[in-house]
Amino acid sequence: MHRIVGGLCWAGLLVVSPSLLVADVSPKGKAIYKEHCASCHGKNGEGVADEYDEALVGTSSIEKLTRVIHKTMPEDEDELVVNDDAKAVAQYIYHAFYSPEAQAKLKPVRRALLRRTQHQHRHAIADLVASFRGHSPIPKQHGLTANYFNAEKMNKQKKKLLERIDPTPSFDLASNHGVEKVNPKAFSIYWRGALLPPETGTYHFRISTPNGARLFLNTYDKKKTALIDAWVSSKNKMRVTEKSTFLVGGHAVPLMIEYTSFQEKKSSILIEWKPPHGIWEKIPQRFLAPIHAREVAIISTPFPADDASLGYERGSTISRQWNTAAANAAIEASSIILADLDRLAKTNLKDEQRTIKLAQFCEQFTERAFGRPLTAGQKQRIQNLFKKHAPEGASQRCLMLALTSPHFLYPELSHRNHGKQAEHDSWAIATHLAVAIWDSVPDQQLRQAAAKGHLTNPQQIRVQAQRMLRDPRAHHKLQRFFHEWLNLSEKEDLRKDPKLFPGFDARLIADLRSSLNLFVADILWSDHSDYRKLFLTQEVHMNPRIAAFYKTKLPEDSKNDQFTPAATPDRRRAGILTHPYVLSAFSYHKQTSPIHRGVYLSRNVLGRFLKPPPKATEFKDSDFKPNQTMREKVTELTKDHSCMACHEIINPIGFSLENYDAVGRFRTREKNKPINTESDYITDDDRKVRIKGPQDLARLAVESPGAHRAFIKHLFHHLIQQPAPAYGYSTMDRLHKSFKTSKFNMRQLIVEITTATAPLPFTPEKK
Amino acid sequence: MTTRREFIKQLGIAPAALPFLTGLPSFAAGSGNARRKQRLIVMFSPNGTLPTDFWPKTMNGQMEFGSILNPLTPFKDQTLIIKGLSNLVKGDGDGHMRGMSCLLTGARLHPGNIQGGSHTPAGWASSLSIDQEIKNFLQKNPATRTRFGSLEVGVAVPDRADPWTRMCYAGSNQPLAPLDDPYQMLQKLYGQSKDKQTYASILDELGDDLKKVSHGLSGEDKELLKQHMQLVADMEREMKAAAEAGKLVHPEPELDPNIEITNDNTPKLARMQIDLLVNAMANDMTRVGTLQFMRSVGQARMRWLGIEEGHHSLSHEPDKNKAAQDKLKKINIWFAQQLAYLAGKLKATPEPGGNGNMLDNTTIVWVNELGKGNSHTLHNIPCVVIGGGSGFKMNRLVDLPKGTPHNRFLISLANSYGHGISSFGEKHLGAKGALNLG
Repeated sequence: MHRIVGGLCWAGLLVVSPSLLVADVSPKGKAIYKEHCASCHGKNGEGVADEYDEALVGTSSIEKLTRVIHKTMPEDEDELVVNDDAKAVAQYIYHAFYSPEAQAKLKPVRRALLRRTQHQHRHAIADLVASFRGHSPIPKQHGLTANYFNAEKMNKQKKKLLERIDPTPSFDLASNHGVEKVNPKAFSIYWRGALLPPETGTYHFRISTPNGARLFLNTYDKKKTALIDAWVSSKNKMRVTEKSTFLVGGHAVPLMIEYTSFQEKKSSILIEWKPPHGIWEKIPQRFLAPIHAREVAIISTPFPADDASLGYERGSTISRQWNTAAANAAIEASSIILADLDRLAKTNLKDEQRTIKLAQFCEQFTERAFGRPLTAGQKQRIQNLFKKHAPEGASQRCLMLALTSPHFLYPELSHRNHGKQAEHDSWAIATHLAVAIWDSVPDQQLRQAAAKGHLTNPQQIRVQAQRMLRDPRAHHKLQRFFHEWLNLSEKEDLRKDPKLFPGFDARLIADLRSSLNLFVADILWSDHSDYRKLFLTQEVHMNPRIAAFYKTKLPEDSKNDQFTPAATPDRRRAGILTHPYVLSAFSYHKQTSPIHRGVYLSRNVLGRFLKPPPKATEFKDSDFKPNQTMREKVTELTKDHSCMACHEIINPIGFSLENYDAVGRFRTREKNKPINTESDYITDDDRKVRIKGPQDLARLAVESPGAHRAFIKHLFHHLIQQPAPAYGYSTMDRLHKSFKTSKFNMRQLIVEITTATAPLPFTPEKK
Repeated sequence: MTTRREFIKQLGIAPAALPFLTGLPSFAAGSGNARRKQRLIVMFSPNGTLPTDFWPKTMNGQMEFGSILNPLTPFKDQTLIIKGLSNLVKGDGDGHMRGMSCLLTGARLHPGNIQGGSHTPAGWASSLSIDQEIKNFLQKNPATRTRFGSLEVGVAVPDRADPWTRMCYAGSNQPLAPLDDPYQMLQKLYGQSKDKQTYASILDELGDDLKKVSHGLSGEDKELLKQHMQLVADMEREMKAAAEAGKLVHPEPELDPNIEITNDNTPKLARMQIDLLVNAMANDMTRVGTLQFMRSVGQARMRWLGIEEGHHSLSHEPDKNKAAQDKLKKINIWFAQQLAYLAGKLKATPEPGGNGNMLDNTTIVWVNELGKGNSHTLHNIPCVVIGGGSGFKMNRLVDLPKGTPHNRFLISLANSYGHGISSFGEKHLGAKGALNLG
């Protein structure tokens, strides 16, 4: 047998004894390895072509390695290295190159210089402009302020009837919605507030009305152009007017709708949107707020995708397309700013000090873009531009320079002193916090703290991080984290065979996506922010459509844009593990996929190390007998020893979820056979445990250190975009410890990650 | 006061969405096509005219301008005045609405919800306007096709969309908004290239910055910045090459960057818009343009003429109100001066790649939605044609039988571009076909 870890017989394994752990690399083991193993496995376990070319890298314990060597190695002469010798070799290879820790030491990870990712780029520009224009208040309630009027000829607001908060802007005179004394021949409605875009991307809006209506987005200024102008009706015929626009997630934008009906028989208005990943629907109340929002500087320039080769997006590479996008974004931003220049710079055309004020504005803008006070040279350059060009031209050049400067594009560079020495000061920490928690630039409070030098110890950083977590920008960044951790960003199309799964349509899929988002958000932002609840919660957030499909009872007055936690009749669900959206995402078009479910959960949730499959194997349903269950098919497909090295981890996880079909509905039979969900599963510390269903999986996710560390690692990558060991080998241990101490508080973990990675004046590494 | 320079947002695709260099239009002169470039500019001013002061007289076979048309004297031998046209389109909408929205369409308004001071409420026009008909005709042919096809230029048009503010229609229920901000117009015409030129001017400094920060970095980080420097240097080189290749026949006009879009700045804004329109035509970006002053029922306060009252209110004053009549005369003379500036500008610009000047190949048509303000009549609507674009016989007053449907003039106009339509707008109104203007 060739593979040192593969093909083991799992029966009768011993429980690991901690006393066997040896810290030092064994010289005896090294000598034996050199003599009997290196010819096939290579001097440092790197493998040898035509012998055993796969590197000896993995997560098995020394004990397990010992047993494998004792029983099987060297190939065809397995009596040569046994007992203590086998143990010595196992100890040697484990510490020299096999274990992840050894690998980390062999290939020391470094903190790469990173540029802003496209998300960070857009957020930073929006916030830079907002730092002069003001931020929108954080909404305390939802819906839009509505004002109803009776009209008279050209006077659309002759008599005010009512002011109230409407959950969503729409009206039908036929059903009236409780507005009294409406003159059906002449009335008008004005809705005003903010739209809270949940994701970054293109949003479509449409107005359906036989009357007149206008929709303004990202402005309350009626003199500006409406996004949708359907003010003039035509024969009282229903008209549908559609427009789309780009919005940045987490940045509330002004929304204002005017509606009028005049001497027309039919009067109604319906306003719908189609957000990214969504479907046409009335704008749900939770994405509306009756606040006065500020205009947002929205950069719609397309960017090339960021490097995700390490499994998470980061700005570690640049390209011609990126350079062009950065230039276009700077041009787009400078034209947005120039259109509003005098207001932003608090001056006007008659102001004698205008040029000076514009230069000051450019200086401040650059300072905020760079995240620290400008050097004398940087200030001088701005002054020089103002000497050379007219104030507008000088301003435009300053803005473009600021936004394409390496000091802005690479947030860290601004804080380096001649490259080498990092300036470990409050400014660097303010930038670090803003990037980590908001993907953005420091806000006024961070800037003030930095200016006073009040960001120099972990406690001060924690206080700021906790404050920042309450902001919608943090909510947006963390919603994206969950999508990435759950691998949902890649799963765009969840549709299944409509004949087999009638009713599982685009609308239901969009509802399920909302349900998952709300489920995760409710736990994350609750007091305890308890990671364990992600797995230990039976209830699924449901609206009536979801409830009907999954045969669950909801209170009768439930509405489709409101989601209530409710347990499905099987009462066996385990949080995200059995959320129908996740189960459907990891399923085939016509049937479940225990392999997809198992691979995803073992890697991302349970933190298991899975090598890529030794050979590419495609699941072809036609290869199997029609009466075989999915479990039988997968068992047959993966029965080969080389497969089972990983499938002994993957399959039990996948099988345990077989009670849930390809759209996440509970079932007990498949192909007229009862479903068997039980298997033995070998944990990462070599224990054999019986898994019967999702609850057992949930227990693993809650109790296993590997699962905790997987969660911490993914969160770390999403926040910091660097590998954790780059901040010291013990970083992960310390974070894990604090995660446990905090009773698995996810928000606290975010604070700790941010603090542990802050460029403090002392080294964060503690022995 | 409107906000200054509201930029590219509403112009459709953001220029930033386009690739950096391929977005640069080629402004080079046309290939010297033998056929002359026929152009059309329709100029509109609102609220009717003063017939006595407006209509010329014919003395001894010679047309003589009255006080309103007097500013057009330098172009008299290229001017044709057509009297007797009526906007006979019936249906919904008050006189102003139909005057405006049926003026270039010759077709009825849809019933709708916009209520005027009298008559029934109405909606948009039910078919396209003549400028768009001619634009579509020219755009169909590669030899006459241009980048924009048509430009809808406004001066002091309030930003609201209704049948009083729109005279151009791409089709039924499809009003076209005039752009009344010269800065937006400049952006639309030259924006991408201009911003990119500005951007190019900072690339040098950017390279210096990159060099400075890369100092002291090591290994992969330094490599990353080196790569960045190379990309910036490449971009600088490519932009220089592109700028050389894309030089304009007529460089874009330099606009004073500090003119606010306010009522009182209207005279300056009008000049800027006319300059931009003529410039765009000189660069052959479009051959059809409309120049809309204010709107029907417009209340411009022409303080630059010493007039405090709103234009529409003044236009309601009876004939016997001498003071009001004087003011209205001043207002209409001012419009004629704008027309004269436009014609003069075209005349002063040699025809690019051709003979004579641009006016020789351009037809300017000056129209108004009403014949007379205080009567709201749609009879005898003013119609002034200037320039050699049409081939009509000029330097005369054509006095048509009263009540000649204006649809017939619209047909003639299209015919003068080689577009042989025999009907336009409401069918029965154009039944007698084109006017004989040759």
